[in-house]
Amino acid sequence: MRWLIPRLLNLDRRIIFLAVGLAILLPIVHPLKLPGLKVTQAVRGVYDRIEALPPGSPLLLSFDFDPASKPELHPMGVAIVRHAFRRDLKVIATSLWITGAGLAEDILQTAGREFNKRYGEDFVFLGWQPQPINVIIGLGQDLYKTFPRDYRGNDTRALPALQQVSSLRDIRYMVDLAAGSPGVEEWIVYGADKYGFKVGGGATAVIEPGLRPFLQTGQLTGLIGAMKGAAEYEALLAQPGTATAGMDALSLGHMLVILLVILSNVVYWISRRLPG
Amino acid sequence: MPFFRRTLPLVIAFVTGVALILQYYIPHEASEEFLTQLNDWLIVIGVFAFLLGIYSLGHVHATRIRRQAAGWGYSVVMFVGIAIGLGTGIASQGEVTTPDGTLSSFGWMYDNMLIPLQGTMFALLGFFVASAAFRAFRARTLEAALLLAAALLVMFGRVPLGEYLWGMLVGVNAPVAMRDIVEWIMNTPNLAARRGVMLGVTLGAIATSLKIIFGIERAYLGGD
Amino acid sequence: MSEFWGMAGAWLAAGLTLSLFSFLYRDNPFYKLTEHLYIGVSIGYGLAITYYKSFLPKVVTPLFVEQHLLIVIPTLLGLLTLTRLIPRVAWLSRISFAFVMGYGAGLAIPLTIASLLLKQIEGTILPLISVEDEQIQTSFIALLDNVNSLLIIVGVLTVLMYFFFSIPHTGSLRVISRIGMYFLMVYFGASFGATVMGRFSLLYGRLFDLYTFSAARYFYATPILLGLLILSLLGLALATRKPSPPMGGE
Repeated sequence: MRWLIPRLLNLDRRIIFLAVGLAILLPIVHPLKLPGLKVTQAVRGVYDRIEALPPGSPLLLSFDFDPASKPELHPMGVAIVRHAFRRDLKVIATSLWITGAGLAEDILQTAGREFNKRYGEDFVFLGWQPQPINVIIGLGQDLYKTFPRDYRGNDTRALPALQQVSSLRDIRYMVDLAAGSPGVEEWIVYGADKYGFKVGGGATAVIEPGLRPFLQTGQLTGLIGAMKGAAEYEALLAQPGTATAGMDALSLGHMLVILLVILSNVVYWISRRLPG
Repeated sequence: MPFFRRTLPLVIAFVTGVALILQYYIPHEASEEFLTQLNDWLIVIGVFAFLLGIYSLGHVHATRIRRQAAGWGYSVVMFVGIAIGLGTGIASQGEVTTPDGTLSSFGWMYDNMLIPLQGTMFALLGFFVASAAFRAFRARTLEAALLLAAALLVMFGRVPLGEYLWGMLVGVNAPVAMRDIVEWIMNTPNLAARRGVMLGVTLGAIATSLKIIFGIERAYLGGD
Repeated sequence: MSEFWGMAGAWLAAGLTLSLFSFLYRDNPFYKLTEHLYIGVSIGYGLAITYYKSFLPKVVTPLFVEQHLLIVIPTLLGLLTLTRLIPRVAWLSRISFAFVMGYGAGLAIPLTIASLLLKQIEGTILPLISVEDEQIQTSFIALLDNVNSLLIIVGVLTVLMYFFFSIPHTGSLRVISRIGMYFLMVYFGASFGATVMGRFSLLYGRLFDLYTFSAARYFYATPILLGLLILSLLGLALATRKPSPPMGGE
């Protein structure tokens, strides 16, 4: 036993890397379909709001993330846009992150094809501009001045999907999918609280705990957190996607880390008690 | 000349700052038009400011190549990367799809270079987080034990397997589900601490903004 | 042709991913090369998007096509920012930066007070107060029932006191700030737990793509490239191995 303790305490981290890799890879190669996914009230807060919007009304989406957060927020975005198209809402999208514009376009195209929605009539992607806080204020003051052209170069004044909307004052609800700053907090402070619309949040696991105060005050109607939140939203739509498929890997990965931490503490305390 | 170099910028910061604060409290149409116009100017200025940041980075690497300093070959690779990104962008006029809906060269570069590169850089952290947890996450003190307990409960409860195992342990009809425990941690102690930090940071940000407006904080102006 | 580019893209994506993952073994030239390529490609992408999606529609078109002459002012201010690069006239850039900073500071103050200060304080106190018959009342029963709301108030106040360094943390303040630290530890623990989930999600995404690219339709890109990478790293390790000291030598 004594020879094992120092070896465990100083375990080569590459062994841990291998264990992590296998824990994540195994469910990809052989899906386990582990049970236990339950929908939380925070995710329902976004779903119910979109469900309550009348058909034909505008829904603003902001895709504020980059390719690094794709596995968490891309499935979330696809699920929300699918929901919006099911409800026949007019989707107006933008992105405050320069490298997120391509992902936003991909999400809209993917869901648009499924529901036979037409660009310009049913949905529009405004694109990206620098100075994110000024973009939010600009959209709040005058959408056409801030985005005279959409991401594809069309004149925004000529797009049917934008007919009802000249600024954020014409928006009742938006969902922001964010991986950090600029993101949910900026949309609340410079957008929702100033121009009087409601916000639902979608966030990566890293920033989600920090957004809970906004959920409690009602500044967020709901909060979809991480890949699990995306899987919950897919469950509400009864349309499992990549987020649901990824939950197995997360389950095994988390259990591995929990076991590693417990093992590390047990070994540490044993080593403290051993003489010498 | 000292007026233009030192005093004028401070006057501009003061006048602009006070104007924006007053604008918030004046609901007149002219006030809204003022905000709309000024805000649009900031976006235009932002385009040029972006170039400034890029130049600084490029200059560092160009100097490294010129002096043939250690690792200068990697700086050449960086410029090759810029050429690829910019070149495909110019070839496709900034569009990720062609007019007939297929992927442009810019879109191809985005899908097959930028997404895997950026995704993998951050995915590496998954391995290091597990390794760090094993090596450093030890309950040596009460505070560390609290941190550990919260982390373990959140990790256990936020995956379906954890919910399922809890159900097996206490029964599926138990009054407290695992997600209730996790939600309580998130919505009570986590929220309280985060709000405390938020209030402190906000007060600090307001103080800094006032210092900028009144010319006490001048670091943004650079050296003399 | 598009099938070829699809295959080429898969091989490129798999190769770049594996090169970056090679860092897990040890720092090596493949990783450094790919890291610098990432920086360059990101910058190139950003430059292209900024030019076509921002500079053309917001500066060139309004100025030269639509002839909105008011755009001259922000364009000049923007050009002034670039004078920062020329030491002799760098002071001119202060005018632009002062404008930007003044605007940002003035915009932020009333909005952050409303959203981040007052709303958050309201959210802390409101759960303890009930409004009946247009009169604000505090209910002792509500206090007892609302243990969570009480805990939140305690947590917010103790955390704020923990960060208050203007007076030394002695006596009762020491106890208060200690409680604040306990709340912070739970916050950090919850954040760590959430971070693990986030990082594993990203890892899942990359491994899923690598698994996809290991299929026959991509001509087994992942295993072939992985094999080549391992051989290259082994070769590199052998080539750079230090010779062992001679027997009996110094």
